Amino acid sequence: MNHHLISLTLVFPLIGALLQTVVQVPRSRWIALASSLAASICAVILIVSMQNQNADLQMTELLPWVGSYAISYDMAVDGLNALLMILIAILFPVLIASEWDQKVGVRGMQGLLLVLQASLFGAVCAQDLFLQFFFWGVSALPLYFLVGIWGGEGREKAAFKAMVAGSLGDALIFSALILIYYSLDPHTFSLRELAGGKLAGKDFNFLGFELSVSHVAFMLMSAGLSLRAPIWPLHGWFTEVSQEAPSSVFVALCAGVVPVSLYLFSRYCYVLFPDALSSAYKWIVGVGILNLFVGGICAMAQRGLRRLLAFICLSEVGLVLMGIGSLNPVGVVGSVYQQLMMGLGLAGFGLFSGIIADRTGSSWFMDENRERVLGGIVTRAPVVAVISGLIVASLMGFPGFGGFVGHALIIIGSYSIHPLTVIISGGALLLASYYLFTMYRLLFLGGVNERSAAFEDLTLRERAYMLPVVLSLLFFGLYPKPLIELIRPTVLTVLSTVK
Amino acid sequence: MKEFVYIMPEILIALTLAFVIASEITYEGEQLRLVTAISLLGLGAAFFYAVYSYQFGPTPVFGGVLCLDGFSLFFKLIFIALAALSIASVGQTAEINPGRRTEYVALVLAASLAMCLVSSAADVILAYLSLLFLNIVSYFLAAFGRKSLLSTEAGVKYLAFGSVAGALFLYSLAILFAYTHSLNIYEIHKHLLAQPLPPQVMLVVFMFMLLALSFQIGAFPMYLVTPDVMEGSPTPVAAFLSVGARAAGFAIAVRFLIVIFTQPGMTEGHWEVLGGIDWTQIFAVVAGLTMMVGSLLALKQESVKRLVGYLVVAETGFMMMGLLVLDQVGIAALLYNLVIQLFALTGIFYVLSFVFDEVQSDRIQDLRGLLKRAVFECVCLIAFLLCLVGSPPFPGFIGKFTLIGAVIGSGRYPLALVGILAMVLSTVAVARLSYHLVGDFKKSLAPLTSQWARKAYLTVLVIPMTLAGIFAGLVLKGAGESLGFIFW
Amino acid sequence: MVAPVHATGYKNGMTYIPVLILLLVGLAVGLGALLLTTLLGAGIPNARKNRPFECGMPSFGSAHHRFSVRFYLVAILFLLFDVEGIFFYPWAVVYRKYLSVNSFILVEMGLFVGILLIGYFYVLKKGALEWE
Repeated sequence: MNHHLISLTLVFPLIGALLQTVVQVPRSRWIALASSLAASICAVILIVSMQNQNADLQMTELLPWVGSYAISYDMAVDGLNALLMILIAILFPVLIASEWDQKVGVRGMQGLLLVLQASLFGAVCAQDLFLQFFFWGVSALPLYFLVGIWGGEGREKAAFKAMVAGSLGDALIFSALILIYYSLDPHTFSLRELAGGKLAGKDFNFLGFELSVSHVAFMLMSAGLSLRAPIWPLHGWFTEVSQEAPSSVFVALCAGVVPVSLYLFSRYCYVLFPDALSSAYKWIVGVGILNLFVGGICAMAQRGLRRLLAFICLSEVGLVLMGIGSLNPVGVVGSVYQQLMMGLGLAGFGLFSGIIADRTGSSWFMDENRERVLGGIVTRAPVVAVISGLIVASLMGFPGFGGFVGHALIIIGSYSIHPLTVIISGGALLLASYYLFTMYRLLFLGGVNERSAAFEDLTLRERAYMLPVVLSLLFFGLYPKPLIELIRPTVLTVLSTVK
Repeated sequence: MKEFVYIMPEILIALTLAFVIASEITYEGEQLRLVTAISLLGLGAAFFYAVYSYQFGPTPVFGGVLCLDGFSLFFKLIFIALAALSIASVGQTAEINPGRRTEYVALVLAASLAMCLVSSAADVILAYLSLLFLNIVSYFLAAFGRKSLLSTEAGVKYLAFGSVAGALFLYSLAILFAYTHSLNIYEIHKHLLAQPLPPQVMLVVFMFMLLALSFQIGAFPMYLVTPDVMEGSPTPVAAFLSVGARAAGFAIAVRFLIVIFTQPGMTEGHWEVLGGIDWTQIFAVVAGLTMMVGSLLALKQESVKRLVGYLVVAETGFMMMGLLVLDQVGIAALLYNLVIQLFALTGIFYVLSFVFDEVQSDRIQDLRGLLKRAVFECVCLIAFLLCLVGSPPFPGFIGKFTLIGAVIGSGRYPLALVGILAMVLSTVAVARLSYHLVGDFKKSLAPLTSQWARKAYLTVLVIPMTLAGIFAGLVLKGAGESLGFIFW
Repeated sequence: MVAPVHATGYKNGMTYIPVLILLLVGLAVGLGALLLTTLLGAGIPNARKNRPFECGMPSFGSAHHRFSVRFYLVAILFLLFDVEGIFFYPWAVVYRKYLSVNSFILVEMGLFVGILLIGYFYVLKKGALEWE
């Protein structure tokens, strides 16, 4: 069965990126938007035409690439990565639309965003480890250039730190991959063939010690991914990038790259390392709770929208990790769903904070005396306030929004690990309501001061790109059934190999 | 007499060289254009003839002195392509005196002739003579810069190291001859199989040969001269030497080390150590040190050409890993990396030479804002640099993967760890450079002159590189098959 | 069984003893002369005594002359063509024997000389043999 939709989602953005080099502004922006939308439409068609109740990989494409090393071009979707396709499909046209007014080098910026989109699509769908790592490694490069060229004052340092962390993370994942490749005979990179605990029981000799391939590779891989999807305490580069990157780039990072790294983690855990997972899941949940708490506490101390977003992202990552480690169908389904919701919620937050920063020139909402910097935007620009309110509600986990479904499923699923986790995670989510409400109150409510007096409401373009985000948050919150039916069979199959 | 057919590529290059020299002293018009045209034609003919020679199969030529097989033809194709690229770019550089450009073309042709001889030498004396030929022409090339003290210094340093290396090489070959009384390395191999050398003598021979060859490829501890030569010599020469001299060194290293120090192993395509000492351990230590030294020192450089020189040293360490696994897969990986580096290094130095002509400096600080001033060239530079250090999605990544994979496959995990660490360090070094290249993008800076010829040249380099990545399977298979021909 | 003895009465390993003695005596005489002058000689140096000896003439200028590079060039070219000349000798020895087979030996040497003649004309045209 050879469909070509997945390859089309790769090809359209790359063609768009190539065309950016030859076509001039303003037509190049339309071409960028068109190619991104084309890829997104292909992705949505792909997901819509997937069969429910089917746990297998669907829509596969398989071509041998480097025969002597058994590397093949193997792409497929199943329950684990279908939602991420939707996330990337919604996210990137929105980002390209949000960068419409970029004065300097708009072609380069949109071209790099297109390359990022293609590489994320590839990393999500690839079923061959080498190919997956290939696309994942590509996703590091555009970020470096996007931050380094279009960022704020300390942009080059932030980009450099991001590159160092990214290369180190990639190198660790790479070592894990090669270890896996050479420990099986015949050597293979294909996830299908490695699935189901084939690595259990393989050992290798390192400086005289007999080490288990599965455990060492698991540790290397999780260390590598925790550098890229920042896990406390390896998040230093992330907060610096949050301060310096342009808003759309940081949104691409926290709403695109971070969920994809969480997906990679869950895919590797369940498919490659079920044996290591059964002994390590408590650690994963522990790290998740730690991140949830640390993210929440740090967010409470933030006065700027950018850093606040970074720490909200950290908390969400912790929550998803808790779901991944719960080894409970409800929890795992919740974690997959939350990857999508977290992406959309963080994207919305990043976008509206970008709009506020552009209008008022700063992204601080509270000064040193804990007084408001801006205020009363709801009277000046009600549309912004409403949209931001909806996004904040989803991030808090308000019923009726997508965030609620994800949060609820994960918390219910974590009960199976220990009842205390429910209390702890519930407490951490209460922190979220504190800092989100504080931010909303200081920014949007209250009296108007001189800085927010001239705040204009959303233009048509901005409404056009904020709308898909908000609508999808509402839709996936009110009617999660089709997506959950898509996820569940795969999760059940996968978990059966873990136990 | 009919054996001359087998060395047709070398004869063609020699004839081209003769024409170039003759035209230099007789032709009074626009010499450079004529000379470039003749040499490109001659090199093109040699290239086609080399491709045509694949059908002859492995044959000894002139009584076993030269050896025509797939391995030497693979290298000849690389050298001829390199010479063509170098000659095509000579007209645009200001680092070489315009009055001496035809001399430069002649020297490049002579060096490529020497390299072709080096890659097919199967006789001890011819190997030494052709290596010496290559090195002497390289000394001239390194010192070719126009009114540049750095260039003269580079040439003199290269000469000093090179003569020591040549002496060590000759000494090790002399010991082998003294024990086996034959000059052909295949005969030597047969003698050593029947009656091996005492292990201490084998160790001495191996160490001297290793030191001599590590000068040629730029490995620890003879890497000291490589960054000086890269920085001091004119940039087109640095491009030529960094690919050509190293590839010739690898050709002779693979052939001599495998023929003299190994015997055919259990399975097809594997070799095992001969002679009682496990020289692959020494080789592994040297490779690891080379990688680490190259990547670490690249982090601290202030001169771009020197930084690339240290990256080249690190690359040598990586490629040595492909040799020490004594496996057809490993050596195919080494050859694949050489092909990738042919395009990447030529491209890097080409852009650097263009920038040097405009900015008159190769300090990193002076290259600030290059992305704004020359977008296409800067993007190409960054792409070639990332390909060199092995970053996805460039084909250099596949090359690095094959090398590290070969090492892990043979169970040397610490070396693989060192390799991955060195990859990260070299990526950080390149990131540090591009940090400066992309800086000041928002300021308005004077754009550098741009010519379509420059862009065409860079495109000519990018396309084969991309193809080598997409069709990596084919290239690796071709490299592996050409090894099957090593005349045994 | 007696150890093998050289005709002059030394054992095999002992044939080089005279060389060692020569070495030691040479070292002794040379070092001894220097030592004795240092220990026994009157040590009152002054500026005039320390000047280099130029057969009574006062020395002037720096001792570091720059030789013209023309000497080097001529010497190297001489070396090249002299080595070419050396190759004539073994050729001459076997010339007669191979001439009886066919005239290839003459053609071969003709090619060799021809290639070097091209080199000679190159050198001539480039002006390396000009003295000024």
